[in-house]
Amino acid sequence: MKLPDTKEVQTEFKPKILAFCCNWCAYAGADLAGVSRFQMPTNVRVIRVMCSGRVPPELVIRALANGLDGVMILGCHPGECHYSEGNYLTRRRAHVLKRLLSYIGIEPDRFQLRWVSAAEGAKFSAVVKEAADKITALGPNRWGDKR
Amino acid sequence: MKATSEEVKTSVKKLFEDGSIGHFIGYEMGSDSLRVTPCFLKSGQAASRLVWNPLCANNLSKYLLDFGKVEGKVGIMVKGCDSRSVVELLKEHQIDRDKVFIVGVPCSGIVDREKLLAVLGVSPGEVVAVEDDGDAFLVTIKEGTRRVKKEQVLRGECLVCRYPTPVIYDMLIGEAVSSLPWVGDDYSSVKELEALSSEEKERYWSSELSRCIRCYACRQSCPGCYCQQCFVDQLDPHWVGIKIAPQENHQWNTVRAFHLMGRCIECGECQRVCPVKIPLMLLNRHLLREVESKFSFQPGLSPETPPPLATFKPDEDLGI
Amino acid sequence: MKPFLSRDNLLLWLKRLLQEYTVIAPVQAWDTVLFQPVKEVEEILLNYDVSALSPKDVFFPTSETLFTFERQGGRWEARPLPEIKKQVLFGLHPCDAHGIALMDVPFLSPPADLHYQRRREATTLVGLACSRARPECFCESVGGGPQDPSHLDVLLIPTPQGYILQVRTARGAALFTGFNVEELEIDNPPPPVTTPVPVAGITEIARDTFNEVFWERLADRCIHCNLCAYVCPCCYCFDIRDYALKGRVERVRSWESCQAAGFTRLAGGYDPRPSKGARLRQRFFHKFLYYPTQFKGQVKCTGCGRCVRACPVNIDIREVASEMQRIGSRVARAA
Repeated sequence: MKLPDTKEVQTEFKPKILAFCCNWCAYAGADLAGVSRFQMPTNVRVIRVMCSGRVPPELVIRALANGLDGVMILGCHPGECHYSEGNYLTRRRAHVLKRLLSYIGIEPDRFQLRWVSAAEGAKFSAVVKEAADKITALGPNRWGDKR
Repeated sequence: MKATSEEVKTSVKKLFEDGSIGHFIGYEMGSDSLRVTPCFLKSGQAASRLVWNPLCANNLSKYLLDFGKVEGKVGIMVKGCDSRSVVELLKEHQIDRDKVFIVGVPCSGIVDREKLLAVLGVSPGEVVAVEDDGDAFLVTIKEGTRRVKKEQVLRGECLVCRYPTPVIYDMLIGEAVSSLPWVGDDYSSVKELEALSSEEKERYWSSELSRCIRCYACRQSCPGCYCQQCFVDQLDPHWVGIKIAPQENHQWNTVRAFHLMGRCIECGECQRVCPVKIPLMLLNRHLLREVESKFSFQPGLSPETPPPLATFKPDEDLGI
Repeated sequence: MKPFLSRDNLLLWLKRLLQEYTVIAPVQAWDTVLFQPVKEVEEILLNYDVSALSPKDVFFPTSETLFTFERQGGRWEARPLPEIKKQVLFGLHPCDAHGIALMDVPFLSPPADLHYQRRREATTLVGLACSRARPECFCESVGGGPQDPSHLDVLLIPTPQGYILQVRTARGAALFTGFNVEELEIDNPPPPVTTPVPVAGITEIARDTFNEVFWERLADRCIHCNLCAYVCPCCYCFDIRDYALKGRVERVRSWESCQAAGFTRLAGGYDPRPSKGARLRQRFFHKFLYYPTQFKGQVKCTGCGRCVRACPVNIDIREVASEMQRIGSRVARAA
């Protein structure tokens, strides 16, 4: 009996998304979402960082160059950063990075910066789901062919 | 160029004689009549080697990083664009203002050697000199002189230059030039590319970056790239290896453009040296425009203004 | 009477070649000329001056995987090397063919480099003589010439009427089986003249310049951009690194340049060539002294002029050669 080719079975595209979550707000928010049994897409991999400001843009570019379909950075709301200013710097950095990525042909929605506090379990789930939906609609990252 | 080679020679000689400088970085004629080369002087007698003409393309400011520990001040010759590199190096504390004597020379355009040879249809052996003549270059060849309209033969960056006169200097040789007549909408090519679809942009950059051989000449010639160890040379973490492949090429060029964000002062050296002519300035200028429009910031104008990514406004709205 | 191809016939022959072989030829790439595999004959530039990069990457790619080991069913299996289909490197000038011959010596002398050898054996070289000399060309000073057929399987000499054909080897002749080549009474066009550079005898005097302060002075302006080594048709420094990936180990070789800072840095931190002057001297010594001595032959330079054009700070090999000769004769007089 010939088993079906994996490619034949996989009719639906499931994007691979990385979500950098800051330890104090977003990661706690993700925790809360889990404990509250909110749904979250399974193809979003969470990486905990101490602050959203710690995420180097090089890492985002590398993730996309390696073929990941989307990257998110989730941090504390402006004014509520555990380290006072980290997320303000992230905000500027992320804005420019998004513009650069868009200019070289990576759709802006593939990279997102969102604010989620520790108490916003539902929001975490909604934000991640929204991102996953948008990225699914965009299809696979064109850079993925280059690997 | 209102300043002449003679004025430069005399001024620099005097600077050595009155002890203002112990070293000087300038230009001298190179291996043929259309080449200049950086020259490093230790005394006033050697000042007679110096030249200043429309061939002086190199941005000499990066050499200042080699003179950190010498005795006496280092004099350096800068055009408008080069002076902005000096400002950036000062801002980032890579050089000491007290150790540098900046000789500024207002510039009215630098010649692209290949374009000039193509337009004239001669070989460098037939060219004697190239001088600035207002809206044209006066080229002295063996049979006489030819007048070539500047816009035909200028370096790409000169076509969009907004700072022909040095923004920082201890001495200015020649009359300041407030603006260059041919400079219009300096971001037109960036806007054109931005207007394309994601797919078209991706295809464009993939095809351009596919030629990259990761020689890193762009990095080496850029005064903004002075890291002791560039991220591509790091083994741990291993960002970009030695494989020349699309994934790595994209990473290299994208990250470098990001690292230069708010720091690139448009000297265009990277594009001048690229052996496969990747339109690097098209990449850098996009971010330049972004920083200007979103953060009202232009690099290389004031050493005191903090870099845009090292600062923030708590209530600014960036759409996030 | 000489074998001859009209321009139309040349295009016809190239079209035929494309059906059987991979054809790598000079093409227009943005503002520059590069050697790339072509799909259509129309892409090929028949009248170009010089390519930005030499075609050495046909045999010595900018980077290549030397081997890959993969974990398969509990064992590590070597992945077979990719097949190299037969190919024709078309349109290279005699200086570039000379460059390949200079690289053949270290790469093919036993034990031969397997990867270079496989590519070399799969390739037939069809050269194009030069109609013009660039101002930086000096092939004649290093034992070559604009119409030099050495090291080529076939040489085409452009004339206003078409191309004089010189088939040099059996491998070259094989490209023409079944193709009608006409004969024409025609003289070779006068070759362009290159500016002489004093390279003769440089191997003998090079060592006398070793301690000269000239090298450090010259190197002041070097920004170690690596271009001289990369654009050169016969420079072949490389780096090798192993990459451990998930279930897979790859060994990759890529171009390097002896001018890069830290090129000779050893584990432990010691660097025998710590200064720019030492590295610059090494470059010219390898070309003019070490290579000819080790391989008992010509200097490692083809006079293509690419390094002169590429160097952003105008370090000019022609000026270096003149200066070395000048120092050498000064030392000889003093002795």
